[in-house]
Amino acid sequence: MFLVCTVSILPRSWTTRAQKTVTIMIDPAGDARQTGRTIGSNFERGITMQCAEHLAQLLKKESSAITTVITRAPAELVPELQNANYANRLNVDLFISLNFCHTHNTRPNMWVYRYAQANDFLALQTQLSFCSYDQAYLFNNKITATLAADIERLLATSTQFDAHGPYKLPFKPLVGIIAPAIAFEMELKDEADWQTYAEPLAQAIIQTLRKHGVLP
Amino acid sequence: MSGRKYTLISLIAFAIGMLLCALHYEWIVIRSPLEVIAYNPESVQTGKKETKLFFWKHNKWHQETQSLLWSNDGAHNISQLISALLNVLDDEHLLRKKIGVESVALSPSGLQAYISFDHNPLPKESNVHQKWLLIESMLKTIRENGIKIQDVQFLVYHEPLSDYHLDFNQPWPLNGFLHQK
Repeated sequence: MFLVCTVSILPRSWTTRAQKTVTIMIDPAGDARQTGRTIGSNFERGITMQCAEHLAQLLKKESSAITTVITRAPAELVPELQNANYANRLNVDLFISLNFCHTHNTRPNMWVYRYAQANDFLALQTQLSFCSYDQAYLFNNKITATLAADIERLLATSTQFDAHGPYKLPFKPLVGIIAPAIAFEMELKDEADWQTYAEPLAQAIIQTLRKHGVLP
Repeated sequence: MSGRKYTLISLIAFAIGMLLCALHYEWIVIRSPLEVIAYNPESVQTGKKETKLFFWKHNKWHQETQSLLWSNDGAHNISQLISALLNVLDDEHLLRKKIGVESVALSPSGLQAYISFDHNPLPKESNVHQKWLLIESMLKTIRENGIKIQDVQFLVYHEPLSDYHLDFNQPWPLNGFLHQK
């Protein structure tokens, strides 16, 4: 359970492959048990679900090459490491974690996170080997850093919120994922404000994937 | 063999079993009278020290100086520092409820500290950034007061601290993650 088996071909050349489809996994925070934070009269899990569905639509509308997978259905229970397990088996190209919290600030903030542990200077061996689940991110650590920085740079141009990061942190929803995995935490003044983030987020993801040659 | 012998053997076996069970669960403790537990008060040197406590508020670091009882026991010093910091955080309304340090222990190498709280110090409704900086405040306070450790394992009642966003299954480096981008 605590080990993620990795094979030599996994650290593939992420940027150079020309793909027919790009799979993006979207993880809305919360599940049947975890309600998340309270935002207005709603729970975080409901808002992240709405945002994930809308983001998936926007991404697919933008490019027919994109396939999106949402990690959970509204009343589903998500056991620990299930998302990582599915993301690694599906060999997704990008993993996005969506998180919301309430704020009273006049100008809301958005934070961009990517997974890290203290010893991330270690390089993983390229031949067949086992690695612990919390070091799986090292396979695509550099490309994750580049993607997260590019997405944050594009989001920082938004006039509706302030974008910060990307920060390296042991961010639990991203643990064990081999593909580039980025988490977004967005502040909401009102529960309906999530829509202000969906469009800029979709545009930033699309533009970044195009810049790196993943999307035509 | 008669029935009386069987009963006797069974009773003796039962008594031995009970005795071993009591020893195993430490209901009975056997101590040699030759063993002397020596307490040398001179080995623990204590004195007052001006310590710096750091916390993050209004998008910047704040520093408060407090005089604490300092000793040559690293675990005791960390306990004092974190308890004082938690009091300051409570005064500044950065905690939702009063949190205390249950116990602090150092690993045999002395490089890893285990800090056990009596409640989860991370408020559920806070954003990840606030929770992260609360942890960074503790790490910075330990670091800036010259305690020579490398990692800190955060616990609640001796179990790893549980949070939806931050992973405490692994120890956090004393340098934290604040300067890593």
